[in-house]
Amino acid sequence: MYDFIKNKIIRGKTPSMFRLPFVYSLGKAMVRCNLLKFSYRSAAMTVEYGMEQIRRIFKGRSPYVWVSAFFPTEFLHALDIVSFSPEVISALITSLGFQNNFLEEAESRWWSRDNCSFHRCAMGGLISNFYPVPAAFCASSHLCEGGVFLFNNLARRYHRPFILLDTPLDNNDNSLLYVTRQLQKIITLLEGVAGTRLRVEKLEEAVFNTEKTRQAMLKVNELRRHPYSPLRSKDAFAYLYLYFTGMGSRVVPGIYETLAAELEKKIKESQNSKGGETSPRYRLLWMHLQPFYQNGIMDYLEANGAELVFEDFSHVYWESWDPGRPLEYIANRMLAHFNYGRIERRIKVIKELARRYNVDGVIHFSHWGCRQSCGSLNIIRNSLQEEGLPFLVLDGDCVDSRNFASGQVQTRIDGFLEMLA
Amino acid sequence: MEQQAVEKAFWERLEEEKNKLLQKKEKLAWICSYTPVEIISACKLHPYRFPGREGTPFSADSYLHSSLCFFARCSLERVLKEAGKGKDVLAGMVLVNSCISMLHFYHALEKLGCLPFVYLLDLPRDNSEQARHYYAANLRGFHQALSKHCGCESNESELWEQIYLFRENRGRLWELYAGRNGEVAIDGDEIMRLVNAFTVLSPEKFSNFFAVYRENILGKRKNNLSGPRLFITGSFVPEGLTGFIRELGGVLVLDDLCIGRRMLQFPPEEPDEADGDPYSYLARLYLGKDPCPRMQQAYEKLEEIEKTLKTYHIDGVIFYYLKFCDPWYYYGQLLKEKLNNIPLLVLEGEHAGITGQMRTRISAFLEMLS
Amino acid sequence: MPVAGIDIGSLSTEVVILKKEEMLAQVIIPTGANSKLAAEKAMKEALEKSGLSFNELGYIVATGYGRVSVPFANKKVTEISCHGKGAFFLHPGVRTVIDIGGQDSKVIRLSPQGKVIDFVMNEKCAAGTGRFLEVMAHALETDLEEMSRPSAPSVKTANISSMCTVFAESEVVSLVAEGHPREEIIKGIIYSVVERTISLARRVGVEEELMMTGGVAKNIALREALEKSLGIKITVPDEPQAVGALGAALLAAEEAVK
Repeated sequence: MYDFIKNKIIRGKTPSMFRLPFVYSLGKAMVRCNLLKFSYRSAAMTVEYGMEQIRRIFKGRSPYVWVSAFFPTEFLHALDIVSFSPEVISALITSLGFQNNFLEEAESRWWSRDNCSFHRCAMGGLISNFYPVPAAFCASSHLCEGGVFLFNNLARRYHRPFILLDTPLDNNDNSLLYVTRQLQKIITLLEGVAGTRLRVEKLEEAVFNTEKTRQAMLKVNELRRHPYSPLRSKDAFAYLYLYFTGMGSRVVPGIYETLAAELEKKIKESQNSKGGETSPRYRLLWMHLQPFYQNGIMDYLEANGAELVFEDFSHVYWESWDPGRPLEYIANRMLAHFNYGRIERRIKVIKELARRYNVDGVIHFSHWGCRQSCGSLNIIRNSLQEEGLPFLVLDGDCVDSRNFASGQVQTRIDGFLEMLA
Repeated sequence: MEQQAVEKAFWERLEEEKNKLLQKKEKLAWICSYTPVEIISACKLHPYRFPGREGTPFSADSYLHSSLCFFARCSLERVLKEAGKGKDVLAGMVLVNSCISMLHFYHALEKLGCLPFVYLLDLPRDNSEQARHYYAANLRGFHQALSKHCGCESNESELWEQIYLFRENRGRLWELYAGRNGEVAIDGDEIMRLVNAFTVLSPEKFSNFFAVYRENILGKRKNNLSGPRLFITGSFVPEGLTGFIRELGGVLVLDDLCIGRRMLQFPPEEPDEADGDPYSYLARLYLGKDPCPRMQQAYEKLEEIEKTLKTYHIDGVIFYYLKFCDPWYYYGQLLKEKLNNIPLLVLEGEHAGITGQMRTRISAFLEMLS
Repeated sequence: MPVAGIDIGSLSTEVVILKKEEMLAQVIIPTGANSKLAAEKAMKEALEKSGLSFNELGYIVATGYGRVSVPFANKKVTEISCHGKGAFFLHPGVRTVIDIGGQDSKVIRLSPQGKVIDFVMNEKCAAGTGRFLEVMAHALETDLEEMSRPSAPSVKTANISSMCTVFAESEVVSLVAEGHPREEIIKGIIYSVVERTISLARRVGVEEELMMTGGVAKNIALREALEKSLGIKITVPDEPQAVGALGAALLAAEEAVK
């Protein structure tokens, strides 16, 4: 979806133009006037939302903070603090094709290639003054551990507060108490960043927005089970920005609702038109993120009759809770993440998704340096084997294209497809 | 000459005692210095620091991804090797959720089922009141689970007894760090060997050994050591590294190592049975130590580092970290920047002993300092 | 109708021509720098050997890394399916195939019907592959033949601890410098490839019978060490390198009758 922007606008320009707020105002206007083509209206809305956030960062009027994956952004929306997700921004930069500038910048200062390239890219952008220094670094320790250390490091380096949500391993009463107490402390710290007090009704509204988002996402996910559902993983990754920073925003529920309506319409159209869309030969589940540079993996799979019908990150992992008790709602959401903690929970969800989406196989994209997602893959492989679910691990890197060996990847995909046949 | 023979005999006997332990069956292995060894002892098991392995984690890589740290992979390798030989020399293992590699190591151990008891203890990243409260509850849970496994009652007065016992031993070793800002008569390598013994021997055995050490060795040391004064920090340093530095004439004055000085810290006030439960005391003890880089406050000590090094008249710093160890990697990045006036040697290891290249680099570093 | 299978690997290119399961020709040549040229050359040689002309071939399946650069192939299939197919044809009892090639090693599990049910491949680096052995032989200034000679059980195994080809190479150089006997170092190198292979095999599980294919299967020392470590006997066909091309030819024969 970024192809158009990439080909028509960026070619020949330097990345520095992306520091100008008006570029994003212009971008938003182009989206609104349908000058940029999107297969989904909701995807256009997502881009518009993202551009507005980034515009505000470069405009520099409102406080902005870095957030690691799954930090409770409800507080930020309630306090009108702009959040910046280094992972998503690195993904964006990679899809625009200038990630190497930042990676090399970081590496030239001895940042090792053994570590996550999302982080190396983000860090390269910060040390080369591409991004303004944020007012705080907010990390949550579940899932991504490297992000916690990176943020702690950067906070020290730039003399900014490091705000940590220490997420316990198990979901029980003791953990819930610990998280809730920490959330209270985090509120105080964030009030310091925003320079205002958090109003209870604002927080309640933010949590209510998360609940509305949750319900809309559930609707989308239910529709995606339909054999005629056209939404594939490669399109679903367009909504990544919302997943990482949009919880609590008042705009985001509408985007998912629009997506649900669009899907419903497209499914009906397919059903009504003669025969509809032919169903794919193989239905696959995608795990973890995708490479954001040109790689052709997903197109290649599609061209060979294998459709990625769902991806684990779109799974709605938390149960409903009374939005009138916002801290508990957030604490429960934090503790519910299936990819964190004991492996049984993760395996259970993968199996459940495999059943729900009626898939023939599972592909895990292993991002080099992501120790959380890759660590126990062989245990997952064995568990899926027991269910007779073929499992393919693709080793690669989401950001650093130098870690991508297309020949090797293709042989593995071909072998996997031949095995499914 | 005679003194040399006495010392040699002491260290040999210590080695012998450690080797005897390899066959002992009631050992409950632990790895991370945040493990409450007192609880293990209170359940009548022998808390035994698992040494990992020096070598290549081939079999372990069937279960753990190759981008995980070598310590976790080598440790799994050792478990697999011993289980493969049909040796039942461990009563089990308790792991602390101190980093992502330990979590995955736990997953593998649990799935493989080759040990009779495996436990994962969650560790907060903070030393706040809430965190201590949370950790204390986890410690109680661990005590209950282990007692249940051993078929005994979780006995708090027994636990208090172990707390006093370990506290005494920690205190004895801690005294060795006193006055090291001046001339030193014992090298850090010697302290490391004692700390090592503390982590594998039973508390009673260790106090016996230490009494002999104090009497026959410590009391008779007169001459101060000369050579470049060094500070060492980083993740699990390979066995023999500090000895090698000593051989080359370096004097290890101070360390910031988990199986080192940080193993010995405890709250200054006397533990008071009447005043609370043992779990809160242990939570205070473990969370109150100088933090490992995975802890939230770890970076605060970097602000003081130059001052500390000046106080101890340090000539050079050695920083060892394991490849793929994120917490130490990000910490090391800042450490490098903070040390402007003191030479620093950075060693990246694969938990495979001291390689030839490492030897060359350490030698060159010490030549540079002398 | 005669059919052909062609396997273009990183080190060697093989062609097999079949007619009703009868092998008319088999050719193995080094791939060199240009895989397209190697494919053409190997095919030409095989046709000469079999006395056929190109137009007489009913169907051609290409496999191996260079499969994409064979313009005359009717179909491209991965070496995973081809090695599975070839191994099962040679020995219908085979359930596990270990293929160690030039830059890839893989373990393939087969169903009793000969269908591929799971497979794993080495991670990105070359450790544990034929390329690794080549680099190590070079570091020892020896050839693959010496590396293949089984050593006496009394010979010690030098410890090659590094997981990475580049570092292992420098480790070998320093072992030589420290005066370790060559045969101990060679044993250490073989051991490290064996352990890596087993580590890979455990991920999918090893079921008997086990066949080893690919060029490295010719290494007797390695095969014996692998047998010893796994505790099962390993079958190695006469031309382990050509199993991929054979499998490709068998698939070509199936396609030709469709």
